[in-house]
Amino acid sequence: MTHRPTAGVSLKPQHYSEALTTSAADLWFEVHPENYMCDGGPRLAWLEAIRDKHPLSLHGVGLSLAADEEPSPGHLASLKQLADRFEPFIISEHLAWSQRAGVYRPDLLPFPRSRHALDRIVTNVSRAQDVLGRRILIENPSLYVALNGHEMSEPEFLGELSRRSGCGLLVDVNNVHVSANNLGFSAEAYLDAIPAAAIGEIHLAGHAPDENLGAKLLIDTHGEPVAEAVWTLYRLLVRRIGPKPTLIERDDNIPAFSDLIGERDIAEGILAAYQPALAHG
Amino acid sequence: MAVYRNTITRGSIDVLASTFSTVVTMVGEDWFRAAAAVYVGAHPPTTPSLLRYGADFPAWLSAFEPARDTPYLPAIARLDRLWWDAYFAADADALDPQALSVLSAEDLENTGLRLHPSVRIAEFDHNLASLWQAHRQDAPSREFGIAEGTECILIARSGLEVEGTIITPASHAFLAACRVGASVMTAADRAVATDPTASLPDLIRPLLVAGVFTHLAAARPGSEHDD
Repeated sequence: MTHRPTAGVSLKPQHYSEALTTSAADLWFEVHPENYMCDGGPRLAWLEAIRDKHPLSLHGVGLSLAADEEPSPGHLASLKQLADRFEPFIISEHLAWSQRAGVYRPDLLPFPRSRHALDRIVTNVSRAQDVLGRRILIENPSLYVALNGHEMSEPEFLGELSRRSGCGLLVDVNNVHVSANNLGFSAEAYLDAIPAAAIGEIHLAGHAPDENLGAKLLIDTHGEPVAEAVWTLYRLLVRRIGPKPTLIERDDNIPAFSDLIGERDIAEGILAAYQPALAHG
Repeated sequence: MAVYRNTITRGSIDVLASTFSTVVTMVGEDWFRAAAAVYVGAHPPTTPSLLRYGADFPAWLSAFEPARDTPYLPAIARLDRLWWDAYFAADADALDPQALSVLSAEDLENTGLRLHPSVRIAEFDHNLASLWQAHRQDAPSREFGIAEGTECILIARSGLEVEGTIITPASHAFLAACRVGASVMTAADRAVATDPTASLPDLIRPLLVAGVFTHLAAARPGSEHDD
C-alpha cells in the first residue's frame, strides 16, 4: 500500500485490459475472491498481472460469518490460497449469513443482533482470522426489514465484535444510507457511533428505489453511480475519522472504466482534503 | 422477506445466464430466465463460489417439459459448460512438438501423451457442435440446417483463449485413449479402428501445435481396454 490511504475501484473482467494499463496514481483494486476460486486460466492470469502493478483487496461474500454453523473449511482454505498468492492489503467479509444446511444463498440475509448471535459471530470471525493468519474487516449489511430480537444497535454490535475478535470494520456508507432510509433511523447518528479506530476501509456504491415501493424501499444494487446523499455522508465520516482506503464498488450495470475512475477521483479529492495536517510525504 | 428472495434468485439466474450464454442466444433472455428460475428453485447453489454452479443444468434441461420442442438445447448447454470448464482449468505448459519425434517404436508402445488440464472432448448427434459454434457470438444471419450423423469437438485453451474445434472421429478416438492413459500406439490403433483411412501424422500434428498435450508419461496399465 502507498504511504497514505487512497481510493480504489472494483475490478471487473470487462475492464481487465484498461486496469492493466491505466496511469491513475495510487489506484488499488478490489475483487470478490469467490470469482477467482478456479484452478487456472485467464482470470487468475489477469489478476496476477494487475496485482503486479496495483495493491489488491479481497472482499468476500461467502464465509457466511453470521450463520449458525462454522465457516466452510473448504471455502476458507480456498480463500487462504488466494490470499497467499495475491497478498491482498485488505481481506474483508460481510456481516450476514448466506448458508444453511448446505444450501448457499448468494445474497446476504439479516439476523437478530442478540448476545447469542454476537458470541457465535465472534467465534466464526476468530476462526477465519486464525486460518488466514491475519485480521479481517467486517462490513455492515444493508437492511430492508426490521427484524425482532435485536438486543443492541448495529454500531454497538459491530464495535463489540471488533473489540472481542480483533477484527476491523469496513463501513459501507451506501448500506448505512439505504438501511437508515428503509428502517427510519439517522444515518449520521449511526456513522458517529462506529468506533473510528476500528475502521479499516470505506465502501461507496449506488442504490435504486424498489420497482414497486419507490423511495420507501431503497435497494443496494451496486448498479448506479454513488448518490449525492452518500457523498455527503462520506465527507462527514472522513472528516471525523480521517482518510481510510475507500472503494468505489460496482457489481452491476458496469459503466466505462473511465466513469469508475471519475468517481474514484472525487473520493481521492475528499481523502486529500482531510489528510492530517502534519502528515509526512 | 421478498426483497431478499428476489435478489437471491436473481443472482443465481444471472450466473446461469452468463454460463449458458449460447442457450440464451438461441431461446431468448425471457425464456431462459423463466426456465432458470425453475432450476434455481429446485437446485439452489451449495457452495459459496458460483463458478461451477449449474453443472447439472444441461441434464435438467433435457427433462424440462417446456424444452421438448428444442431437443438440441441440452447439448448446447453442455457445450457452454465445457467451454467454462476449459476456461477455469489449471495452467500447464504445452509439450514441445518435437518431443514425439525422438521416441523409438518401443517407446511408443510404453509411453502415453498426457492432455492439458483444459482439454475437453465430446461427441454429439447431428451437427450440434457446429450449431453451438455458429451461435457463440450471436445468432447467425442465415438458417442453420441440421445434418444427419454425429460430430466431435475439442474444446481447450490455447494461451489464454478457449477455442472450440470440430475434430474427426479418429482424432476424438485418439484423444479419448490419451485421456485414460493409453500408450501412443494404442491411441493410434483406436484412431485407425474408427477410421481406417486416418493419417496419424496429419491427426497428431495439429493437436501438438495447438498445445493439447503437456508431457509424455508411462502408459497406464489397464488403459488398453478402457473407454
